[in-house]
Amino acid sequence: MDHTDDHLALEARALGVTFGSKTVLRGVDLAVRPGEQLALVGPSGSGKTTLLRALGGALHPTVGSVAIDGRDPASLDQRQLRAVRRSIGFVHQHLGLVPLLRVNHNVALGRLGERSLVGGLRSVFAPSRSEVHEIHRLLERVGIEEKLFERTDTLSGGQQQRVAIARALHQRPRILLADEPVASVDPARARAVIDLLTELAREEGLTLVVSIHSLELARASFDRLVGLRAGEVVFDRPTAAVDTRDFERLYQLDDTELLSDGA
Amino acid sequence: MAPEPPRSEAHGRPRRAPLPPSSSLVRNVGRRLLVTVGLALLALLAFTQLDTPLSGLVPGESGWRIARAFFAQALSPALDYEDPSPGYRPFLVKVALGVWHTILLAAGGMTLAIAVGSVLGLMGASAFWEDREGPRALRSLRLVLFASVRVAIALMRSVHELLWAVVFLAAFGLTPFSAALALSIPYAGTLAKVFSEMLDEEPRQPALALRQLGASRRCELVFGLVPGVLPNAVAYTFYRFECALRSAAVMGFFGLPTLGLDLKLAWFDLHYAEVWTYLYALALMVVVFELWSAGLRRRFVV
Ligand SMILES: Nc1ncnc2c1ncn2[C@@H]1O[C@H](COP(=O)(O)OP(=O)(O)O)[C@@H](O)[C@H]1O
Repeated sequence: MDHTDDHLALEARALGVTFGSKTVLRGVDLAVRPGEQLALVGPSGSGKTTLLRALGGALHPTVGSVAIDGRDPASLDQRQLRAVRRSIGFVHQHLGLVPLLRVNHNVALGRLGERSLVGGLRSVFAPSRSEVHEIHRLLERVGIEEKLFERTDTLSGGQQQRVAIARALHQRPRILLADEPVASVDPARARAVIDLLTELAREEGLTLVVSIHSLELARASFDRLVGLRAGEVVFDRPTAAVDTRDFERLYQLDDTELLSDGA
Repeated sequence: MAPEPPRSEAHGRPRRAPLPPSSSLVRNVGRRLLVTVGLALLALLAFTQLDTPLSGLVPGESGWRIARAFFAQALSPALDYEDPSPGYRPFLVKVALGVWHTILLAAGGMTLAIAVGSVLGLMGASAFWEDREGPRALRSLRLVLFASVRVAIALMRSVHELLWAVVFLAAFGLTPFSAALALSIPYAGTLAKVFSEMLDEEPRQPALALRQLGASRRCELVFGLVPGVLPNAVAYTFYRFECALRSAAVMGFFGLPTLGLDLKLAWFDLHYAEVWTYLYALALMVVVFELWSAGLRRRFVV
């Protein structure tokens, strides 16, 4: 790892995102050190997904800027942008797996960013023995090695979640972003998925940012919490220093959305 | 840059389209009635414009005789020439050769059609052109290209393969290649249209996820979008192959050595038993192909 201590893995400066006339993020400042793990919390619609996408270089902010390993994606050309995206594993809320492909193929696609079309085809139709081993080990690590050759759409939601995590790891990223990774997992398993993410990130030395709308889960598994409400950061503190007043501010009862999302 | 997936996708819960207000439902009924009446009038017009009165559809005395003679042979197809002469190849070998040439022509035409249709199908899909960057001029140029691809696809489909065959046979003479080319043009157009429509209906999330991990545009489409349509695209291609077999047989009427030629000659010689043999051979060929492709599809999809 070539990170120095004062180098930031991710940074948002006075970040604002507007879609049409709707302001979704406003004046967001965030600094994440390499190897750090944090959770974005907040009611649904508060802008967590949008912030993750901006941090991952998937959308350009309307105002302010983002820096990924010190580089602003808005200033990069297509080629450099692809290189930056390769260094970020993104576990989407909707997973983004290719349903008709087998699990091993979906995981192999994690390296598609470094491959040409021919290289990609070879990795699917004639994968190298070593890559098959790597994929098998990864699936073991996420606990579904017996699904290696299953068609992805035959797996349960939770299993597909693990495939998506394995794909992100196969990519060998430096940063892992996960958007509501437990939204489609039953509550009993949610804790296990979050623990898996934090453990894997620790083992691989990855920077991890996870959006979660369950405060309980976030509190149990992360040392740093960033609270987002209506597009603004309302607190950014070590978990131990987050008090009930912060939570009240996050989910103020005048917030009509609270009723529908029941966090 | 920033591909914006529709909101409902980004949130992972699909939104239901709101019901139209009842007034527009009423208007819809009205419109449907109008269309139905219009179509009925059109059909009536078509009949009055046909020169022959409907009574012309009833065959005359000689017609009946031919029909009786022809159908009388339906259950006794020929297994040998009706008037054999020495030096002919055995009749069943001739039938087999007719089948073989029909298959060759269909396969040749379909090979071209699949190659061209896949490329045009991908280029006719909106995902191929969306979210690309570049100066304004380049983006306008892309729009023009996109429109041209769609127009080209429509034009290719709009002329029937038999008409292409007439044109090509006149231009290049009677070669299997000109016939295969004639067959491939409308078939490539149809495949391209159907492929691009299938691609347009595929969810975009897998492709966008691959873009997010740094994949090139080409890889994004090939791995994120194409696999989803592959089973249906393959099934449809097999169906078109079956159509191509029938078309290739008919092209024999222009003198190519497919079943159509054998059929025509036997008919002119009044060898109805032979005609039936060729018809049964054609049917058998299509049925066997259908069974074989169904087997392949099952293996491919499951
Ligand atoms: N591409 C977009 N176009 C229009 N509105 C959007 C778009 N993306 C997000 N929004 C809006 O931004 C708000 C925040 O969304 P999001 O970032 O998904 O929040 P969260 O992840 O916290 O639920 C929502 O009200 C949503 O409707």
